[in-house]
Amino acid sequence: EYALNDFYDNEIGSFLIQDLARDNKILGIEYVRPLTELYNHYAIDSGVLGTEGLVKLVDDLGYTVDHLVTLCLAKLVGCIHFTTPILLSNFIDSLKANKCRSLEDIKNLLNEFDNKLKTNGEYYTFIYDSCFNLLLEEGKKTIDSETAQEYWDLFFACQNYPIKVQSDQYQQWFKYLSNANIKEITKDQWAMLLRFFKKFPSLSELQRKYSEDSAWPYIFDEYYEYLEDNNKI
Amino acid sequence: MLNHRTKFKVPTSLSSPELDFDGILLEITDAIDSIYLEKTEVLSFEKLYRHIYLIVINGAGSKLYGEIEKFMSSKLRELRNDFTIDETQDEMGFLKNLNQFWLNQCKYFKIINDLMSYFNKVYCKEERKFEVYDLCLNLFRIDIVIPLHESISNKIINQINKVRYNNELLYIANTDIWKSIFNMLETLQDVDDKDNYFITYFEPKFIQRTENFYSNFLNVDSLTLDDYLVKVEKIKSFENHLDNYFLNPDTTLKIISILDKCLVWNNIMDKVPAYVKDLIQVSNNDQLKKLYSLSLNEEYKGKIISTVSECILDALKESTDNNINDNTKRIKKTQMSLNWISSVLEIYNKYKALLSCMKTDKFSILNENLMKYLKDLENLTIESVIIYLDTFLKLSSNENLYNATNNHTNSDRSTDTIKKNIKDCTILLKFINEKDYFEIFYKKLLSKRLLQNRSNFELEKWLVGIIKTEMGSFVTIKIEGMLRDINKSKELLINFKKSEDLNNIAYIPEILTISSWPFVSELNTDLIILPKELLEIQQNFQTFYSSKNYNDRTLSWQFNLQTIELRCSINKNIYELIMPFYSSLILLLFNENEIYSTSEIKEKTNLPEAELIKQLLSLTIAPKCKILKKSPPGTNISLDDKFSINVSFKSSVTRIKVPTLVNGGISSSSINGLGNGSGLTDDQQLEQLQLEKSRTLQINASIVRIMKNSKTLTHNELYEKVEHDLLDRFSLTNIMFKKSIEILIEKEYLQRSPDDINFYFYVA
Repeated sequence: EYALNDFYDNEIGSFLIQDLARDNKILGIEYVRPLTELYNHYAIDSGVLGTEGLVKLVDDLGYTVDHLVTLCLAKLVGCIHFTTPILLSNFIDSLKANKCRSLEDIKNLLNEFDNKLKTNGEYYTFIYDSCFNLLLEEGKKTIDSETAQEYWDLFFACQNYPIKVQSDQYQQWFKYLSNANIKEITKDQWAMLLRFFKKFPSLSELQRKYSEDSAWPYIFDEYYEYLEDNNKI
Repeated sequence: MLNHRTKFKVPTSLSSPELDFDGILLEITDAIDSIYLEKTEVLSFEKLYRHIYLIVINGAGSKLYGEIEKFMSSKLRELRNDFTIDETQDEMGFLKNLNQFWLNQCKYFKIINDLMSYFNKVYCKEERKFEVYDLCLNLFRIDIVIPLHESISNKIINQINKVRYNNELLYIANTDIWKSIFNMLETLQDVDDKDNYFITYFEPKFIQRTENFYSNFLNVDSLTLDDYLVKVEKIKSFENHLDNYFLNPDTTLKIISILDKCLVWNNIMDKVPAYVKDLIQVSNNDQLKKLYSLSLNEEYKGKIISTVSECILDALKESTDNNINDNTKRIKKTQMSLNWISSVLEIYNKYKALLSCMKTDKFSILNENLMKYLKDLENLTIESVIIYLDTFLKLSSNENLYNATNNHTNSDRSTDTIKKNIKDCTILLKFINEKDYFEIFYKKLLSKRLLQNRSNFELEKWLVGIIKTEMGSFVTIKIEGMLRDINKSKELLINFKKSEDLNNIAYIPEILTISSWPFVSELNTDLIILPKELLEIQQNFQTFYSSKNYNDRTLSWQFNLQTIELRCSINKNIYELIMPFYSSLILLLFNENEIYSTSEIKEKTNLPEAELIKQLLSLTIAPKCKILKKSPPGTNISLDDKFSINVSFKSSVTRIKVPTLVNGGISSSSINGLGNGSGLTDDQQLEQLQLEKSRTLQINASIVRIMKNSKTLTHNELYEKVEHDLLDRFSLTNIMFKKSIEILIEKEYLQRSPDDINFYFYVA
């Protein structure tokens, strides 16, 4: 499949553009050319838009790569994992659908995303859930704990987002991870953490309501035990 | 209606023209006076009847009723005043007088009542008033009993208490008087009261005073428990006996239960735990039974039971401390297991006897406590029970039985005693939850017993039957397979011996079904070079076995499980050496040559190098069994080392077990490569890991099976179903369950519901 993608991207790029151009006589040719140019401008990872290109793009859009809108953008343009390149067709289709054809347009879109993240819980959860796959390296099923922690910082540290967790809870979680020497985070654990923090935003809430008999993954039982052993609750 | 009236209607012409009411009343009261004087013979009843008839038909009934009531009331008051003067006389005299007075009054009331029977029938009944007799009784209540209430009840209760105090039925005659007076009180009744006077006014006071009387009757502190029990019993039976003389059954019951309260539970509740503990200490089951049956009070009985329950748990915990946690005595695990299990069984039997003696309905506390206790010691219980069984089963081997009968000393070793000990121990089987671990450990020791012929085969079969009943066939399916293999092998041997010439070698084949036995199959055994004689037997047997046409069974030789006995002469002494098969292969080479180098031995036997070195080391350095001599000496073996028979070998016994090195050390029980079955080895960690792995697989399978059917379940529903599904194998824990769930989510058999994390979906 990937080989086929490469083939499309490298060998018949021009053919593709012609093909698209023909379609866009109906759908609006004005998007294809500028977006293709944009794509090519950032296709600095051996001719495709990869991690490096994305970082540069985000940078040029006035955001830093450690801003959550990076995830929104990556998700929008059809990025599966950060490590796999973004296809030109996905890039054009998705941006066109959002009526973007210049950096300025994309920048406005990202501002919109930023706002949506802060106000729309569902969207925030969607981006959080997607984040795991974006961070996943190809062929692996878990992400390493350090990476997970960096991104958890983005999601939970600034308190600007719909799901707020008190810093004691969130700091203890990190301490627990390093204490228990946890190296890998599974998709289930990643996804459940958001629900966990949503349900138990503070240590006192956790103490009051947590039950090992409910379905929380085992790692949370251990976290709870760790808190008990260390007199945090 | 009209007819009815005319019948009673007397024509006015026949009646006196004027009714002389006062005159008639006077005649009636005079008549009553006469009755009281017991001079009824002077009365003309016929005339009195007529007067009363006239009054009634003239409609003056109500007036007459009032006058009679007034007259009788004042008469009774007058009599009471006479009577009260006598109140100062002794109690019994007073009661006797009162009784006599009552009986007389009843007599008079009856005559008066008869006198006025027309009045009763026509006036009182129509007007729904008391008949004259009842009217008199009511007046008796109001004018005699109520004013004298205190006096009557105090006196009679004082009398009763006096008898109680003397605790003998000296005054038995008096009980008639009491009974009669109680009878009087029971007869009297107010219109408004539901119950009679006795129940409403007397009984509460009687009960109260009985309680006061008995409350301080026994000073428990000054009595031994034995004395106390005797006394309570005596008092109760006395009171019961006494009450039978004069009290109605209902009140008797109330009195007895008050006795219960005063003498038993109110009195000794605080002391019950101490009493119970003391009695248990000295195993005085009979006294305990008495103490328990002393009262029917729930709280009291409950307290005794909870104390017994506490004692059971304490005894068990003490057993842990003495046998398991005691690090001062360094004893082997086998001995520890024997001691501990024996002590637990002893406790069990002691309390079983105690509880059945007490005839309590709370018998279950024994099992409940034992279960609670063993639950925390699950693995230790499993291992210890199996080691205990193993020890007794080994005593049952023919060899041991033979020794025992010859010595006549050790009665523990008769088959019946062994059987009883084993049977006793099997009561613990039902407390074992981790049945899969039981199976693994049991098989390990069983395989050793079977292959080394260390126990009585019939007894093994019998025990497996019991295990099957107690723990379910899941546990015994492979164990039964092992027994079947041994049985089958014996049959094969008989047939094989019939058909083959065995070259003076006693050969005992054992055909083991690989899936039943706890061994790892040994590979490539056909590369090993066997001596001619052994090879011949092996080939013969192989031919014989394949002639039997066991469909789809292939024979593979497991040399590491084989044992060989060699008779040899070293330095003119004859020895019987019992050794692992591989050792013998090396030793047999020396029949042909005196000296071999390591590489020559390797070439001639084709043993894998690790095995070769292990066996050579065993033969040269094992204490008391240095059969080979190595040159140069040392514990390292190189290919150029030379080996020869150690001609200076000497041993005081002729039968010698030659051990094999295990993990760099010597283990005497490791013949057949089974490891040291009764001790903790490094294998155990591996075993635990394998157990965990097998459990995870079973849990995963169970979850998938259940979810496939149900499609979606909550966490708790699924947990319960899986727990139930695996109940006859092991007890599910939350951790194991969650880990399996996470594995299955990872593998995408399951999915959490996006809306509610407590819901799982099956992903087809």
